[in-house]
Amino acid sequence: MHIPEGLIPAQQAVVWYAPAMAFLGAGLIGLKRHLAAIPSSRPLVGLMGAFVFVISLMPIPVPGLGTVSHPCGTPMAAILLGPLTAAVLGSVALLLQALFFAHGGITSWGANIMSMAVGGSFAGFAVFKISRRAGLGLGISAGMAGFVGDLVTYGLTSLQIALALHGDEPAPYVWGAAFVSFMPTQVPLAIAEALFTAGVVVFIANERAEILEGAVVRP
Amino acid sequence: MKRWMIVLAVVAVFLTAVLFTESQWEGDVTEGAAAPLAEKAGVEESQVLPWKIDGDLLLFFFLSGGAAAGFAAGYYWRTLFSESGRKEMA
Repeated sequence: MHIPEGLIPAQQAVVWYAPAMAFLGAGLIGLKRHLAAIPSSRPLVGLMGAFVFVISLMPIPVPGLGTVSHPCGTPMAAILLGPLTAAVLGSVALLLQALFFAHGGITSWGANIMSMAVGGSFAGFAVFKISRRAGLGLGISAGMAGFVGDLVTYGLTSLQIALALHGDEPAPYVWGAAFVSFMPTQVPLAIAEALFTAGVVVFIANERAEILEGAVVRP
Repeated sequence: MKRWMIVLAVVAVFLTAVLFTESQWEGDVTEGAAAPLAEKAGVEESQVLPWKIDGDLLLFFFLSGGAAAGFAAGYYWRTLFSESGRKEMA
């Protein structure tokens, strides 16, 4: 979902930057308060930061298609730390990837934040909360959050691409076509993200339930 | 047993990727989706940063970044889940 440098017109880049910076600012304030209130959650923040960076940078080949893509990691971080903190971790990862790893860009940073860091986090978090309230198990809820969060990220990326590059064609049509073109590659990766998210959340809840006190793991 | 299952799963993923592909990995799926639209719209990727990282330098950065993130993940994993790490935290 890393939209490269230059594909988004300057005006649209600014439009994506504005909410992205608002989420980033709110997330940083929230993270500072969270760490001050619960210093023992620092290692979990560090672990999730490293996970999000690696997961969202890892080009995973999809057999038979000849394409590569990556999961997001932000739904998992949102379940364990809250969506705003996950948005901060995703934003930092995206910045490093744009600066040093030829993934994404500085002008497209705002758009990429809105799709992966914000969209993936909040969609995953919402699905997890709704699933838990509906009485579904921890692993199933986390897996669904990972799956939906991943696809929402690519749905937003498709929207951004469509708005930027639709030309004479209707933007909704281009949006749909771009989203459909992602599906053969992204659905297998969304399933992988679902399994990984469920595994990590269940493992942490079983091993260190106490560090998740107050987190959203409990309905 | 569990450890060997994980190793086998990783090897199976790599083997599947290598054996069952008909073409070389041609790049990120986002670039694949955006490239035809960008060409149609007459838009090209540009460069804003004063440096360009590609070739072996990009490989170096990927390896270094992966190693650094792997080290950080392992460190925090040990702090959270090993007995010694828990004692240090307490």
